[in-house]
Amino acid sequence: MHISYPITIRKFQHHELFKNQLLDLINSQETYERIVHEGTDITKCDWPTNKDDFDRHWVTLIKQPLIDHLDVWAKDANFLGFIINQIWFQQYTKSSGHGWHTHPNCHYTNVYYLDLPKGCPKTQYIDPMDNKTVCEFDVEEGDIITFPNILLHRAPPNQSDDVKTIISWNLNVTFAQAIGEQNDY
Amino acid sequence: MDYEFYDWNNLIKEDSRLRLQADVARLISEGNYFTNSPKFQTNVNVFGLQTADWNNLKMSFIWSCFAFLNREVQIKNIQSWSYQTSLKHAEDRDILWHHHDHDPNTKTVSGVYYLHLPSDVEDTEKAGTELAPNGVEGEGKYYVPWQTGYWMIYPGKIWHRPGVLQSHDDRYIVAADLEF
Repeated sequence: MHISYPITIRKFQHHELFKNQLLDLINSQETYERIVHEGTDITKCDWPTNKDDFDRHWVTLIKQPLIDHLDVWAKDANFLGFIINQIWFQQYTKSSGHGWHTHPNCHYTNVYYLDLPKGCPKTQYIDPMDNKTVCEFDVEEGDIITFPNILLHRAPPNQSDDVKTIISWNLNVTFAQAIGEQNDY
Repeated sequence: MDYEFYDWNNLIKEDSRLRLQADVARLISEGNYFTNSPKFQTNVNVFGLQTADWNNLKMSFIWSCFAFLNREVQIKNIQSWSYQTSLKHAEDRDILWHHHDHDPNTKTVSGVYYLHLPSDVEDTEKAGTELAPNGVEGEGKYYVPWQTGYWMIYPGKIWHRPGVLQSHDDRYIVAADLEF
């Protein structure tokens, strides 16, 4: 099962070009943490250390191509613009995963499957229309999912011996008219 | 059915609803309400408040509207407000009928989020919203029951009015329009 809106899955057109460079830069970055709490064990993640730093080497490499990708998405959805608030990577070795969560301080969040070897798990989510059906995104390596912040989702434990690497970012959109102005009664 | 319910209790829980309610109470206590409409309707577009709770509520409204329409639409505008009221400020209900379809250039989907109902309200069937799908003078008016934590989504062109007040404690709803 897959909800077709307002969830967007699109291929990142520069994936093949950037994949190995991005993995090299991510794997050579010295700042990251292992994140462990109930239901979650993320092997390497630079959210705690660098999420607001847009000058990391791997971020500078991918920033403009990602903006180009998102420009198309925003245009299709009739948003005037968007701002990426935070960007980070997550790596999962065998048995690691990320428990059910949402992203409360943004409008949309994104997952780019940078390295998704065969057998590594895809992101799951709970259908918010019935609050119980567990669904799986129909994605493959190189895809970018963009979905609303309130979608409850998780990365199931990685049962593979291979490492899964994703890049994620949060963004806020600008609606056609500014929200926050006074209403006319 | 003219309306649909969307249950967001799994993601917007009681602690969040209490914070939303407190924000509305603060806005009204600071005088941020319309003086030419029944007491007390905020004159602030509450979805613009910069907290995670309001952001989540806004996104849940947008998603509910897409689900109601069975498609994702290009949003032209979103407006939102909150309404705090009780028997202390009861008005003649016959003057409360209205609709939200004011712009001929857009279509409007509207929503009511049932934020807080006082515990002494006994008839929840009449505490939500009354719809008049065939107009105020037409047949077939009915009540949408109160469902805390749900968005009730309906076409903005439908005439409606708040449910029957039954308590001297405050009832809170959030209302919103999505124009496309």
